Amino acid sequence: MPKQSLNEQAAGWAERILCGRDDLTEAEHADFSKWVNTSTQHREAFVGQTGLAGFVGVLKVQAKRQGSRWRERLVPSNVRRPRWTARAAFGIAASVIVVAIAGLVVRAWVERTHYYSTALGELREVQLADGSIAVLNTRTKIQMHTGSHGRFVELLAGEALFKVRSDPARPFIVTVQSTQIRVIGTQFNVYRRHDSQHNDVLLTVLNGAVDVSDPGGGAGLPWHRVLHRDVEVTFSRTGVTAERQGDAIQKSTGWLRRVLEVENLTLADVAAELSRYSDTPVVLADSRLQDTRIVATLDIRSIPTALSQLEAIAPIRVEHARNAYVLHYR
Amino acid sequence: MADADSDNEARTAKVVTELIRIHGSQLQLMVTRIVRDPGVAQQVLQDTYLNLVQRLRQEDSTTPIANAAGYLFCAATTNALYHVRREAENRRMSPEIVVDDVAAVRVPDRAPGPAKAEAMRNVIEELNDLVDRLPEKQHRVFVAGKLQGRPYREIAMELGIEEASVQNLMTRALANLRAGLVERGIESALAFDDPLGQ
Repeated sequence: MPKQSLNEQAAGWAERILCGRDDLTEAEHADFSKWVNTSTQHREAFVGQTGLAGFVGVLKVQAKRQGSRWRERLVPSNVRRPRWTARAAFGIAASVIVVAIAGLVVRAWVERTHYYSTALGELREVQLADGSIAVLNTRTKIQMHTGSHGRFVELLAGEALFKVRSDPARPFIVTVQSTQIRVIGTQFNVYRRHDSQHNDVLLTVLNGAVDVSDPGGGAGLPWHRVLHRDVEVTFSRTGVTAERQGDAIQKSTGWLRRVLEVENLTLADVAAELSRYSDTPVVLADSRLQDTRIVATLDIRSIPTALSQLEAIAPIRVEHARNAYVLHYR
Repeated sequence: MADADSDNEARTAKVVTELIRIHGSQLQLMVTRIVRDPGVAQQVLQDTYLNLVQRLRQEDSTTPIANAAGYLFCAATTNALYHVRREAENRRMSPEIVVDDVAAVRVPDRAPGPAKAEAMRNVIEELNDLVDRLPEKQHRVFVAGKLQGRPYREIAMELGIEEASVQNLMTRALANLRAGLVERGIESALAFDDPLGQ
């Protein structure tokens, strides 16, 4: 028997996996895994063959509706038949069906999609459609879609704490930009930072575990982590950039008690954090303050109060200017 | 603007619904065989559909359903292989059944450029042409098996050959079709290529 080309081997595996009568045996699965791992070319060939199956599926649907063409083709012929008349008919018929289905699907989709948001300084606890709880911090917006196969939340802005109701049949997945956080346990906090200094996400696992992954794309490569209780990571499109563990992370959810728990943060970071809760930004007027680090618990219900507290412990003087709270060095 | 968004959402829902209707059961079978668990396969497929929705949202409104079908199968395969690797890592399974370096076959998440978009518009046209150009026996087996859905045994009887020969002809036909798509730049236009290998 002549030796098969790589493409033929890939086609053979794709046929077995896509169209075989039975599931793969242990030995076959091991063989397949070994084969697909042989080289990048092997994997590409296999993925390419499965992609071809998608096109062939479309061709099959067309063939069903233009059956005569393919029946004739069983008798070899060099005469090419016009395709567009039958195709146009297929197109029109398909469009009518598809639009009807789409109408129902869009309606169902809209009915099962909910938006929740908070205004500046607002803290809101909402019960999601599946019975889970989301606590939204200031200026936060989430979208939730519940389907039969899963519960999908997108954090569009801000920060939220999720207490997830267990449902093994429908995983609870939170998406932040391209990164997916799949719930294994029950309670976690996600904070999407988007300001002049940051464009990243803080994820704090308070209970259980979560599975975080990003398929990559753009500047990023694929990455994946499983995080357990009392772990906090900072991540961006390129992966995890910082990690903290232990009791200190409980401070990340101080906002639930309306306080900002500052654990060795720079004044620049504190100013950015306080600005989240105010229409009037908090700015530093002196570069000497940039890297000054502090430890404090500040009241975020009132920014003037928080700044007074800050004044008592940091080398600053607060000026209440017209468009900003300005922190001067003293 | 809101109307445009809503039109785009409707279009996306339309494409995804039609694709799932046509290919859902075959995708479920394929992914189940790779990940070896129907429940996990459902999750992998759900992720894949979401990937597709995100991709369709990024693209212009001319993406034909056939191209999305190719993308869907590739994405499902790569997600399934990725899952197998992840599970193997989690369970520290023996190396011979670990799918290594799956990152290399992840479907890149990027919108096509104008040249690629142009190439993508003709996928089914090109595939029709490639089917027409298959050697006679391969053509007959492909049409009977894939387009008319007839069992190999029946084709073997009609052509007076062994069932194994039908299988062999089918494998060669599929290999030739993929080679043709690669040669005509269709496969790379759909970004099936290896993002780390470029």
